[in-house]
Amino acid sequence: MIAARFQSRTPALAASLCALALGATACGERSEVWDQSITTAPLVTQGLRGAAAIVDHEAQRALLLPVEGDLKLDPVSIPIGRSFAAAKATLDGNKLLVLCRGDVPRRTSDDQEPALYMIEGSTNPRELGRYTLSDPLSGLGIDPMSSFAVIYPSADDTSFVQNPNELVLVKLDAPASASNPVPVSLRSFGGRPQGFTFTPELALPGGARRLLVVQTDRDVALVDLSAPEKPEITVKLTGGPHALEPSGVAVSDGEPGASDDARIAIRVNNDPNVIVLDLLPVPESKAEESPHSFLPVPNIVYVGGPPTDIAFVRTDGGLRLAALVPSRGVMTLVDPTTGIASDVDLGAPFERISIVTDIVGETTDGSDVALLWSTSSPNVAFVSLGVTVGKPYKSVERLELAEPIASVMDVPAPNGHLKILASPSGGSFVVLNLLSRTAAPLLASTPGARAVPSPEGTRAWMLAESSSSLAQLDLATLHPKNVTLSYVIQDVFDVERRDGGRALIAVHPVGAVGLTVLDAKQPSLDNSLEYLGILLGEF
Amino acid sequence: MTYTRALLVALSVVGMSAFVACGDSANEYGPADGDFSTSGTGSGPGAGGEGGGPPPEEELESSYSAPVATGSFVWIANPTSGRVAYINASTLEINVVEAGNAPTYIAPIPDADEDVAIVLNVLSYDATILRAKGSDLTAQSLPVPSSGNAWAVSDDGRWAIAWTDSRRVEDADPIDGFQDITVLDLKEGASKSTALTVGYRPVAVAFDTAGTRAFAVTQDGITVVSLDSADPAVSKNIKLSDKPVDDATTRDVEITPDGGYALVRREGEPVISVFSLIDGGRTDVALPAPPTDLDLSADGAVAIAVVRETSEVALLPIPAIVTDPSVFPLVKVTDAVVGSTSLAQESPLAFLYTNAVPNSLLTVLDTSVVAPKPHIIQLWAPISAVFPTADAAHAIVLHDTSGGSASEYPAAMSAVPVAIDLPAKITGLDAPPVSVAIAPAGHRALIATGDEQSPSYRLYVASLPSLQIAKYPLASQPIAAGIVAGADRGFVAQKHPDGRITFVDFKTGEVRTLTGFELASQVVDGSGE
Repeated sequence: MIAARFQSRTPALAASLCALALGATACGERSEVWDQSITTAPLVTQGLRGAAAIVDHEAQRALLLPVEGDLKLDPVSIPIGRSFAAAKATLDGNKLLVLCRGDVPRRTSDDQEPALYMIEGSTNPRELGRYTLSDPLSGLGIDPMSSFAVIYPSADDTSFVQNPNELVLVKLDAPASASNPVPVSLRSFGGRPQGFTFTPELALPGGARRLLVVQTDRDVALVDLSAPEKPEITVKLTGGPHALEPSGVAVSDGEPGASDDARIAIRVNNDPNVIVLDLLPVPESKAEESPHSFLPVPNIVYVGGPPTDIAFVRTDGGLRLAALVPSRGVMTLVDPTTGIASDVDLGAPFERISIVTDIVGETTDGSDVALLWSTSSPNVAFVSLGVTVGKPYKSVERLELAEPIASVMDVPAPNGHLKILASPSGGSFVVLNLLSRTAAPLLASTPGARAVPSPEGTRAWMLAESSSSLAQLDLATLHPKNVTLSYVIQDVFDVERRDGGRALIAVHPVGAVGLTVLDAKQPSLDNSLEYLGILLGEF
Repeated sequence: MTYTRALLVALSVVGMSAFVACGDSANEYGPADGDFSTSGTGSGPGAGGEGGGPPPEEELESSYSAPVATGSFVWIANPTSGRVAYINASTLEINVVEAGNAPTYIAPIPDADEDVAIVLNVLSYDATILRAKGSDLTAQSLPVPSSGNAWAVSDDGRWAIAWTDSRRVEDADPIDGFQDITVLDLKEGASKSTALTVGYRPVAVAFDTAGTRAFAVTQDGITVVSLDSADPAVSKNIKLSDKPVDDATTRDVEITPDGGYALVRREGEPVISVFSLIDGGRTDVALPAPPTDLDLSADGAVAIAVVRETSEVALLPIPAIVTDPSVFPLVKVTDAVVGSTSLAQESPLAFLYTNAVPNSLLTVLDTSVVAPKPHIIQLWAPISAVFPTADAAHAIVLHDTSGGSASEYPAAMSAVPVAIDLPAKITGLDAPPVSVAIAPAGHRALIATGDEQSPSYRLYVASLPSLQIAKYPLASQPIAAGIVAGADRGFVAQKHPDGRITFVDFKTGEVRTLTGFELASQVVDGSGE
């Protein structure tokens, strides 16, 4: 192992390096940064396509860590604002977004404004843009297609007066301008935003577009992302004495080529009804005064019990809303056009659903295949949809596991047919092969273990926060290769190297943050590099 | 009997429901021809009933009521929220308007220019008149001190009367006479409300076609309300019996459209009594045996009295029968038993059958000729009810399959060509029918099936004249079927706490279900901001 040590910027943390640090600034005024403490609780890290990132918010910088071919780090320090609020990477790993609230309260025009900083996540990180915001907000949501970010008030925001329904929508594909970001002030009926869903592009009356679905604690708002300056459409779910709180959303674009059959389904907390919004053309009677070309028409469908998950599925009988009702051990299929419901008896309670048709292939009649799993019973099930005589499905294939499933991780291509299932204890995993319908168990000796599939889909990393042990799981052979590092591991990031290879960056929450860099394809202590005091460098 | 259960379910649903509280839009609110009927409860002895013979005929048609529809809209009241939802059946756009306190009983108002409905707000003792034209809707309130649970509306839409049908009041106290009615003059710009008192426990209210008089059939007789004076007023009461203790619940009363005469049939009595509603004069028409059904032709020119015991049909000419009560055609129907009749709205054809005993023969009689020849149509299951199209070119016949039949179907229906001599088509139903609606154009018929005992909820759509039957599952228990002629769509209102209605497009066959009318009104899209 090769060890590289960086200087410490806080004398109390590394008294032995104090003299070195002072020497570095002996010729002039010492930078303010050296008076800043290092806050690593929590330690904010993100994995990007070509680098790992550590948000060193006390030093108002994001430290990007690209890796050379020889596993040496080439840290890049990118300034961010004061009062760090949140950081998230886009799903593709190409961008890091850092939200800072600036100087709060802002007393003079020289005080820093709140802003969203966008940083490139490649092997050559750089600042891509900065979007100045009018208000210091702390909530950050990112579009899974990386085109938008939404900034919203969170419970941490404590401005003198605050409107919890004021959002800021940032178009990440466009530079900052007078029209970007876009302030969106939701009309409120007493609720405040609780969750955001960016839809895929939907063929809607008036043209294809994407929507932002905002769930509050009592209604749902639809923001047209092609024209966010238009007033949003609000569907009030609470009209009577019973408050209906939306708890989940499913979206369907309907049949290809049709522009009047897109739908949004809304699951409601502890309620046996699902509300389906048919996105229809605005009626002629309202066409002149409505700012929109589509209008959500709600329909209530009864699924027999409170559903824990919903999804739109294709069957040979047409589109259906599938709702998992674990209290009855069934999956209820509802025709959204007629409200007709039929049950698929699952024989066990299942709470979560994932459509895996793209992976396993559709059934002979073009129907979907759904993967179901449970947090309460040790089962997974494959449901092949489509009508056979006397039942609304072709088959239900159940696999019994040793433990219930707490989480399911997708594996990128070329192993998209694999899912990694984690038990609630973190002591065991199952690699589920969707094609062969096999479930290979993996056991961890340390509780609280977790799996991190690599972006290139050929391996997964297993780690536990309280442990310094690490394992590379070859997803082709399911052979685990164990490595023990010097320090406990908080996170690992499998990133692209500058030479085109892959590196694994293990983050150690020790002192001023330590890192171990290994060859991701051939992890070995023989050619790893260990860095300590990483937050002390690159000012 | 299966249909008896269906009848009771339908009656209770229609009577109690917030959605279609007033039931049949034609017979109950004021028929197009001014004719209406009210039969007894069926508890009285029928022809030969006491001697162990067949039970009385059952008037089942009135049970299969249609919900409230106007030219292009379906109107649905929600007593809980105090709102009325109105659905444009062409676009399926749902809107909601505030009414009074507990809007419960709703009725369509005939209007040439607008879609108009009236809803009775039972807790605020008023009525809201709703007028829709295009996307505009206006609401006007009028007091209804009598409250009530039923409406009668004049043909011209000028008058509406709120009254209480005691048969819809559960466990009504015998002291409660329900004698208060409220007459509403709906004339735009001059609308007013007048409270009046009629006889004990009215069972029907109707108007003459001229809109100058209204008639309340009560257990005290027929109370006549004059509408052509400055204020509506009760002008007279015409007793229908010479016996002071006559059982009024076994009477079957028909009033001619012009309001000239009332015809009365009493269970077990071989006579039809004709009363002049002008002077109260009575004429008794003797029949060979007690008639088991009495109906009036659409134009009021002929009363049809069916005598099951002798299988004869008396065609009583109106008003000539008053002048000479012994002169009328008496048509003998051989080879078939007849005890009930159903008449088409725009045709002189009468459909004769019996549902007192298993009978698969349907008799068609042209009441417009002097000596009509019965035409008998062979069907393939016992008949329980007949619903002719307006022009009588076709009829939908419901069958009872419970009488020892080997059929696994709990009920059946036949689509019967009448104008052309072609075979009828019989179709098994998965559950007893609860509502039937026939399109005014006669090209479609809806049959909704399923109740709490038989939860196979279905909508059958019969296409005429092709006799093709399409079957659609329904998401919940149907309450009533109806037609929105202006949209060429049919609909079935269903039980659902948030309101549910299924529309079927007669042109495309597309079915669409709307659930949650109140929710649909809570979409705020920024219009007008």
